[in-house]
Amino acid sequence: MRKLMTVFAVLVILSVSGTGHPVETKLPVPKSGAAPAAPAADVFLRFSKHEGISRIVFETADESFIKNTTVTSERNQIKVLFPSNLNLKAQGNPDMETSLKGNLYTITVNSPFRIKVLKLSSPPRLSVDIMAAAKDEGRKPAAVEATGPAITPNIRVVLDPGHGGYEVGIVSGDLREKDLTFSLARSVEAALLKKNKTVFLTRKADQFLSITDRAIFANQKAPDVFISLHLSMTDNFVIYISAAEPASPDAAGELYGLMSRQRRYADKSKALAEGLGNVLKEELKRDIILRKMDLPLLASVGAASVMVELPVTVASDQSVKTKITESLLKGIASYAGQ
Amino acid sequence: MPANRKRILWVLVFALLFLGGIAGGFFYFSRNFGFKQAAETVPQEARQAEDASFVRVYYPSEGRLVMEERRVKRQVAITAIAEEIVNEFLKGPSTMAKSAVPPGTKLLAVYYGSDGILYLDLSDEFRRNFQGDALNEFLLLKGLYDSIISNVTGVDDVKVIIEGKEIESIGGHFLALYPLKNMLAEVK
Repeated sequence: MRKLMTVFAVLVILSVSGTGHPVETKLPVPKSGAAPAAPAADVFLRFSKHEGISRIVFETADESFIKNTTVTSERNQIKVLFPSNLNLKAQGNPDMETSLKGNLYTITVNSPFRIKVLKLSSPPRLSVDIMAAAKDEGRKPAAVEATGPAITPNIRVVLDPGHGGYEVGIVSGDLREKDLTFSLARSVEAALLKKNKTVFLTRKADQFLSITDRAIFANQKAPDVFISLHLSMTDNFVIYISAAEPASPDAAGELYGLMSRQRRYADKSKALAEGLGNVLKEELKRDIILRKMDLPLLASVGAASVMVELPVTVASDQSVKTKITESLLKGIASYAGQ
Repeated sequence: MPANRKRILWVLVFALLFLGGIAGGFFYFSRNFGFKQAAETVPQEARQAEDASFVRVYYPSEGRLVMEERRVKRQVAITAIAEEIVNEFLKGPSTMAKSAVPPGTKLLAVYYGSDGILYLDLSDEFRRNFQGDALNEFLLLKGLYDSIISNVTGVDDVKVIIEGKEIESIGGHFLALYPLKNMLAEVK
C-alpha cells in the first residue's frame, strides 16, 4: 500500500511540474541581427504638361506613405524624399532629367522655376506642379507654395447627368429630365475641354447608372469638382450640398467608408455651392435655394461636390441653357480661383 | 319488486341526471362566456366606432409634409395596423388637387422583422410613376416613414421593397437599399 502511494505521489509531482512551470522556448534570432526590411511600396509616376505647367504625380495605395513624403527645392533641383524605398512605375516621359536613388527622387530643371506641391487623397497621391518663374524670381530659390489640398490651375471636373436609361426623371411635355441633364452636361464638357480642362462624364449615353456606380466612377477620377445635374419641380435653382459635417481630427476612422467621404470636403463643397449660386443668380436673375441634404451620391464623393437642380420651366429654353452653361463655367472658375 | 322494474327505474334515474347535467352546463356557459352579448342589440354606429381608430398620415405637399387624420379599422397586429396606414397613405391626401404619391401604387405585403424593421412591399408603380426632384423624393419617403412610426409602436425603422425585391432607388436621388431612418435626417 505504501509503495502504491509513493508511485501516486511521484506521478502527481511529475504532472504538476510538467504543466505548472512555464516552458521556455527560444525564439529564432535573425542572423543579421536586424529587423527584416519592409517591402518597397509600389508608386505610380505620371507626367503631364498643360499650359506651361509640368505636373509630376506620384500615386500609391498607402496614404501615410504620401503623408510622410517631403518635397524640397534648391537651385535647379527638386528633391522628393519618400519615407522608404519604392518600386517606381512610370507612365510617360518627362521633359526634364530625373533620377531615383534609394528613397530619394531628384528632378533637375534647367530654367528658373517655382513649384506647387499638393498632397491629395482618393487615391493617395502627391502632385508636383513645376512652373516657369517670373523673371525677377529667376535667381531666388524656388519656394514651396503649399502642402495642403488646394485647387490646382488645371482642375479635374466630373459632371454627372442625372437619371438615364429606364430612369427617366421628371417629364414635362416632351421634355425628359434624363435628356436635358445629358445635353447640358455635354455642353459644359465641351466648354471645359476648349479651355483645356480635364473633364469626365459619369454617363456618355442614355443609359441607366446606379447611384453607387456614379460615386465609384467619380472617385476613380479623383476630381477637384463634382457637379450632378438634375431638374427641380420649382421655379428656382436649387443647389444641394451634403449634410455631412466637416470631419473632426479624431474621426479619421470614419472617413474610409464610401458614404462618409464627403466629410473632409464639406467646406469646399459649401464654397463651390455659394460660388455657383452667386453666378447663377447674377446671370439668370432667379432666386437660388442652397440646401443641405443627406443625398447619398454627394456624401460618397471625395471632392467638392454639389447637385444643381435647374427649374423645369426654363431648362428647355436654348438661350437659357447657354446661360446656364456659361454660369456653371464661371462658377467652377470662381471656385478654382482663376 | 321484479328485477325488470328495478332496472327500468335505474335507467330513468340516470337519464334524468344526464339531462340535468346538460341543462346546468348550458346555463353556466351562457351566463359566463358571452352568449348574453349576442343576445343584446348593439346600435350599428356604436359598433363601428368601437371597431375604428384614428391614425395620423403624413402626405408630401408643396415642399413640406401635411398631416391628415384618417379613420381606419381597429387592428391589433403590427403588420395589420401598418397595412391600414400604408393603404391610407397610398390613397393620397384628401385636400390637394394632385397627389405627390405615385399613382396606381398598391401595397403587396407587410413584413415585420425580428430586428424591429417593418418591410413594406409595394408594387412597381411606386418607382415607375414617381415624378419629382430630390425634395419630392425625400418627402415621399419621409411621409411614409413618419406615418408608420407615429402610429405603430414597436417599429424601429421602415424599409421599402418593390415587387418583393430590393431596389437601389425610388427616384434616383436616395438609396432604398437601406432602412429609411438614417437617410431621412432633417433638411437644413
